[in-house]
Amino acid sequence: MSNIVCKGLVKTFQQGDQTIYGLNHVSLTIKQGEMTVLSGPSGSGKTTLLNAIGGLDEPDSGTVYVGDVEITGLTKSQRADVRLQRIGFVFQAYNLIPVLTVRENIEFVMQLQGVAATERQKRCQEILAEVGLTGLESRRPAQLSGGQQQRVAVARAIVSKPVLILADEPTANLDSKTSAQLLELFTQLNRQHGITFLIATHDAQVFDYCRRHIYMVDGKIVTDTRS
Amino acid sequence: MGHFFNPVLFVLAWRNLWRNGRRTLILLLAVSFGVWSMIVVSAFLRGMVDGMNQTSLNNLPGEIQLHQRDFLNDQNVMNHIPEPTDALLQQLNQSWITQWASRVRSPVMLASERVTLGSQLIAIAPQQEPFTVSELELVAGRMLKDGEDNGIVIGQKMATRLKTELNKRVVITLQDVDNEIAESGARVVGIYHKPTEQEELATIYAGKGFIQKLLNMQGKVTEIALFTDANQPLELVVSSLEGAIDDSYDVATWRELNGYLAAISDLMNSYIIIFIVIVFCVLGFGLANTLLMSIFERQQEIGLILALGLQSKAVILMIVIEAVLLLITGLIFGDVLALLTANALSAGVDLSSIADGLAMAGMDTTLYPVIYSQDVIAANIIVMVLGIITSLWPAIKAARSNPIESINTAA
Repeated sequence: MSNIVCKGLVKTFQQGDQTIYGLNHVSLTIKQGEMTVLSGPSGSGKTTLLNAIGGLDEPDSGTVYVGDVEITGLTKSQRADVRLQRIGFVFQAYNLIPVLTVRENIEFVMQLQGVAATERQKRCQEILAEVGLTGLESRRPAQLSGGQQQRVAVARAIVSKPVLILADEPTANLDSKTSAQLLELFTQLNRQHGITFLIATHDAQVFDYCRRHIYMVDGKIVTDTRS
Repeated sequence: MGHFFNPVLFVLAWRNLWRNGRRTLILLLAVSFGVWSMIVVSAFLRGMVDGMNQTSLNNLPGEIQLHQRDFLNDQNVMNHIPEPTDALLQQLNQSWITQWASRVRSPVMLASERVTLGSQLIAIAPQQEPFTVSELELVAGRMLKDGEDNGIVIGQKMATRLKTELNKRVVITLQDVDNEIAESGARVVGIYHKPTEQEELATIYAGKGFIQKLLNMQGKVTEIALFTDANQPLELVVSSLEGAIDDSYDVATWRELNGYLAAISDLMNSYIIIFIVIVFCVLGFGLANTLLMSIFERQQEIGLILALGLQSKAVILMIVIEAVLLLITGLIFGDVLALLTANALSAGVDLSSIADGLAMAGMDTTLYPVIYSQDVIAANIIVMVLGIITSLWPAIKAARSNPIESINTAA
């Protein structure tokens, strides 16, 4: 089982003389295949928690396990390797490398993983069909709409077969119709591939697609509900 | 860590380079022009020094000379060596020695009806050393017919100072091998011209056989001079000659015989390297600035690839590859342009307007660019190595950036 386990995570920031808690003793377990939404006001610690789980940021104390790997005990280089092998990311913006085509963007992580060219092409073709982008593989990101760019980012995140996808405000720059299409895609991929999704968002529309809803305020989990 | 070296880094580096084509082209031009100037200026400096070398060697003449051990300290015919035979002759006839000649060199007093002057006499067998004969620019009369010719060839200025002229007789006075004064009348059969008055006063030429008889030193000479194949290192030739002679001989290269010229040559080597480094420093600022701007412009992208799992080392490598690709392209253009320039100017650049100054320095009035492969290699290696070092600063800066902060820079 590749559960995500956080225990007693603390992350503080200095603001003048004041110490601000980004994460205030946060503990939670996300089971494999769960689709979870993290919500809360700005500064509540959603992105900080996402970054700690993704190994992009080091908490002051506490531990994070991604499956059987304790990510908080790793070096910067080892964390990069865990991200490459186990975690997919979808950000609000700047998700794609502008100088690479859609196909090259999707293949990028697989190339870093050392996946053979024929296997990369096969998986890329399949995922392009799955996210509805067949025929756009030769385009550069600037030639795509915002929704299409997010789909490419999702395709890239999913194609490398991660155990966890961390999405930070994935619908923030999309209109409601495109947001719904993207969330449908998330749900479909979650069901088909059993990938764990953790989505940090302000967007209430996302709540309807996730069975678990964690609400944070001032770096603490205030509510954790399952529907 | 199998993703540290990855072909995708080359694709990213090359495409990133052309994201801002105008900026890259300007830097490319700067690199090309820099390398071009390094090579072309070096070629002219080399041409100048080679010209000086050649003039000097033709005056010596010879790249290597053999003498009796004490001759260079006391240029007296008492310090003589025998004409080469056996092992030494065998060495002198090796294929890497293009020409050799044995001579008698001695201080001499020349007296005309009115004036007496000191100079240096070089007694030669003209058939043995065509290089000496061909280098003499005769303005009157003829060259010595053979070693037995009892005429002398003097410089134009010497003739003026002696108040003598062609076909007039002068008296030459020397010291023979028994330390006795030897003198003889000799007719001026030729008058030569050299770029400087000093050179025209420095040497008079006479027949070797004639002088050997006069100085009572038949079968003996004071020096053996030789030219070598350009591909043969002088040190190797020296060591092979040393194997064929005993301790009474001294073997010296032109560097030892003409310390001034050797110093100029060494100074020029240092100057060329310093010049290349200075030009690079100007280029280096441009390179570092361009890479820093390029990195600043794609901070989000660098954050993204770090977040996706690219190692920091791979980011450094990617930026260095960008610099290397830029440098390689610039170097190729620069090298080709420099070769074309040198080829176009191979007929020489006329500097006759400053001919007097050049002549004083022993240089020709036409400057020929000479491209040394070592200068081209040095320019390319220095630009490449220093370029890579320069690119490390922006590369490390990029690799150290926090992925999330970078992604959020413009979010």
